[in-house]
Amino acid sequence: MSLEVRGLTVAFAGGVEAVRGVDLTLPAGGTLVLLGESGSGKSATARALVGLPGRGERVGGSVTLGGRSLLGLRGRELRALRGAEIGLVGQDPSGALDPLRRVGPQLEELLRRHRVVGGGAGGHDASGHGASGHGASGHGASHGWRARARSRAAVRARVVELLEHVGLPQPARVAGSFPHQLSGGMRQRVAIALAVCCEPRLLIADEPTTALDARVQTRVLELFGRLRDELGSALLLVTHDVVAARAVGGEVAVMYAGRIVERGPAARLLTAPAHPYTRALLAAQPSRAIPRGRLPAIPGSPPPADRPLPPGCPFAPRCAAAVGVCRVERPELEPLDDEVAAACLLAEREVVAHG
Amino acid sequence: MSVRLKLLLALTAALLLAALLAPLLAPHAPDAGATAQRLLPPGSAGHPLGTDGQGRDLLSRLLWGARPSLLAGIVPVAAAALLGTAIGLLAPLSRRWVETAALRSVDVLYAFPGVLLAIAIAAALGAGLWTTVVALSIALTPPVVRVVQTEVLRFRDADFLAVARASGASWWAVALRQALPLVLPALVVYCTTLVGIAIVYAAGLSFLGLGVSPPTAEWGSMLDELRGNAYTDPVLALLPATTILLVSILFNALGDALRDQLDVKERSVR
Amino acid sequence: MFGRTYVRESQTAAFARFAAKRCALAVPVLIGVATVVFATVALIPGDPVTSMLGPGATPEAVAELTGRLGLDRPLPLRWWEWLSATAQGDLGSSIAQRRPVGEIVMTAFGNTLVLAAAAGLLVLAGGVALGTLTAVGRGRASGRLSSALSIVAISAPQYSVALLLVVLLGVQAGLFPTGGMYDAIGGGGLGDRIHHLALPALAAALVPMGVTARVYAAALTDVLNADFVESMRARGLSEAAVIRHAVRNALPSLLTIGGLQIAYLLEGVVFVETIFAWPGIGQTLFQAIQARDLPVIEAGVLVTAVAFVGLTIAVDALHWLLDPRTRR
Repeated sequence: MSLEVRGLTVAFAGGVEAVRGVDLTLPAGGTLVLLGESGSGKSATARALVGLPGRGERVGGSVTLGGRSLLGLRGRELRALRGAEIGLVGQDPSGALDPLRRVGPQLEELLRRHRVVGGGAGGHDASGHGASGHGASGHGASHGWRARARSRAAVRARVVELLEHVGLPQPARVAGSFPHQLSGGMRQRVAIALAVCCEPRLLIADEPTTALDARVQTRVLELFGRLRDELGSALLLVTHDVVAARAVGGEVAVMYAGRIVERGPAARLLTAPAHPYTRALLAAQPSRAIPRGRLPAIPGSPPPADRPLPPGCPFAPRCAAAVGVCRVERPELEPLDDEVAAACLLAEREVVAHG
Repeated sequence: MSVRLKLLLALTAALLLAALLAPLLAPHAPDAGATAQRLLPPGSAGHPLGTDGQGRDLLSRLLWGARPSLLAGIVPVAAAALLGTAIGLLAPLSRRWVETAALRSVDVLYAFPGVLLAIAIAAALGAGLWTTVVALSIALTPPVVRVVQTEVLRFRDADFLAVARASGASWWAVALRQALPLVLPALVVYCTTLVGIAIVYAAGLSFLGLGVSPPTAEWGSMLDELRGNAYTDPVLALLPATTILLVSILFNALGDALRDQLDVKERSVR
Repeated sequence: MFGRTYVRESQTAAFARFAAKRCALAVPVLIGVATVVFATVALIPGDPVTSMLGPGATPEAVAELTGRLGLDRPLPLRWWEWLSATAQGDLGSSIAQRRPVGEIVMTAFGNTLVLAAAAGLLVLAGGVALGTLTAVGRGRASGRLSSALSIVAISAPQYSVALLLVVLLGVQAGLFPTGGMYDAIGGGGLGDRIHHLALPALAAALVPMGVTARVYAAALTDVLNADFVESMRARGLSEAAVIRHAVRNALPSLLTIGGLQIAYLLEGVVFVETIFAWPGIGQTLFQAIQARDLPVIEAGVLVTAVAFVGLTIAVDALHWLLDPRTRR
């Protein structure tokens, strides 16, 4: 079940694009990190994948999950896909939950909605987690209430199990709590439980650790890795944080001004990047080597998404290495070897010179 | 500034001007009546809006009546705004017991529905324009305190207030220079709507016989006088009622336009 | 498998604590209210004794009645006696009507409650409808229209509306009776009562309906723009389920504002009852003020204020139950 994205565009009403032709490949069970500053179009890409573009945005190109086209899905089909096959975890854990309902019923609602356990024939087999789907069907009609009670108990048991599975202590207590009674990290774990409860084939995490404090961040990222391995689903992590990208590993695609500027395995890309923008991103990360308070930031800001791009490389105005041709010719994403591809005229030259 | 806001401001200015220039604009003296010309319908010669049961010109009475009606709408709001801001601003910034005492007293007044409090006070002081003004000033103060209080509480723990306090500024200075500007947008919006409410209350008191007493022209007492003719001359009876309604809509719409302009959140106070 | 469920903290004890605290807080307010009422009435000009006996009364008769009513004793003493008697439910007897005040005021208050209940239904129904239209249609013509309608409703003085309704629907069209609670002859049935209720209830309901609509619209807009609504869509919940969650989240604001507005109905009834000759607390108060009937004024204002305080407590309690975030 791989995710294939070809020529994805997200355009505003005026025709200007926030995402300008993105190609992504994410195999089943694989990991892809979409790395970039805010305003690079990475979140717009993630939202477009689940069919939730922002107000007035139009999505173009093609997106397929396991060979099935996702763009153009409407209504019932789209809703059946969301949550069940694609799980989304957002940035703000407090925005993931209905503040007035207890955690348990919110998970139950989703499990029932996608018929994972309880209320009819389960579409998925929940094996590997103990509780298999005890549907109401198959029991005698005279025992309807008993079957319903059994089904309700099964759903609740599954909820508690899920909460335990995402690493929440005292899961039964969490299930009986209101969101405001939980800490930010706990709420984010609940949000993750909501995203994975139907064992989606694709798990999209959009800046899932930004609102959490540093210690909790690492644990939550570990949880994503564990869930990916256990469920065998593909993980798409959207982040601005190089540390988070390193922690998750897999493939990394660096986005700038709505385009992918460099792509390759995390191990290589995050140690020896070819694109000057990736280099600048790495240099801007806090590390033990650099004393605090002297964090080198990338000068300037990314080109605004609401205006057409000027000619040349979009990063050229901020690029220390830029030469004359960079302001004239726009580089395309070209493979440098069999692992890494970069959209930089200089990187290509280097490869040519050294190769 | 939106077109809507400009239009509403122009209308308000026109209304105030009409009241101010009533002696020049009114075709007749407000209390000069001729029994031969009783209850003339609107459109009669010399009486564009008709006459009342005593033959007095209704246009002139509406114009003259605007003076006490608007006065009783605006002066109490100004007084309540001053008093309410003082209490609402100083109470949260001052000592604990002062805050408690001030807010408990406001709670007590707040427990009375506004009109009831005004009626009780007006009844105690005896009918008259200034009675109405005093009664409304007291009745309108508690909601103003609430508005100011809610705004101040949003900012009370803000760093810059703490910094101002730590730098040795007096309570008064902090309240006036730091807190007041924060509260002002919400206060302006609320007080504009409050003028509409006060006009309605003031006319209501006169209608009940607790405000301006006849024969002085005032919208509420005109309504009361013409009420008896509702069965025979409904159009005349509805004139003051409609005037009060339109003026009230004007101030409420103005408040709404100001709310959008100043970006104040809709809250429930009244 | 059976019986495995969530661990929830019991809320019963917490609610009892909250309710007890809230009611305790109301006691000083009520004493304050009673004091204000007493003080205001003690200031009312015009001597109740002369107004009872007429101008031709002998000085002896005046002195006798003054003594019998206790009006010659010091104010603080009268205040204390009045307060303790009131606390025990003894509201004294009417000077003008020579009947127990409790009887007069309670009958009138019952009639007012009928009117307020009918108007309250209109407030909630109209407020929710207008507010939903405003919130859902924001930025479109339908939203602007319903927003303008709620401003007109807020601005509509009860007496203007009452008169308008009497003239247009009562007198001109002859569709509704223009006064009283039921027909004197052959009246009193449910249909007849509703027929008599329609116009006064509408006149009393308009202002609070407008306020409710505006506040509910603001609350619903906030909820519809909240992140969790988008999160629910992203999880594939049906649109109906999403709306259900959104409405549930706007409910606390609706009940708070709706409850307070129903309390404010009590202030509009003074005018509505006077115009429609509805024998409620408003009309009773009006007549008592004109007759300088002190005990009735005191009791009428007091009963209204107590009902008002009671309603605010009920609203707070509902809010506690509906919004767990307030339970601190």
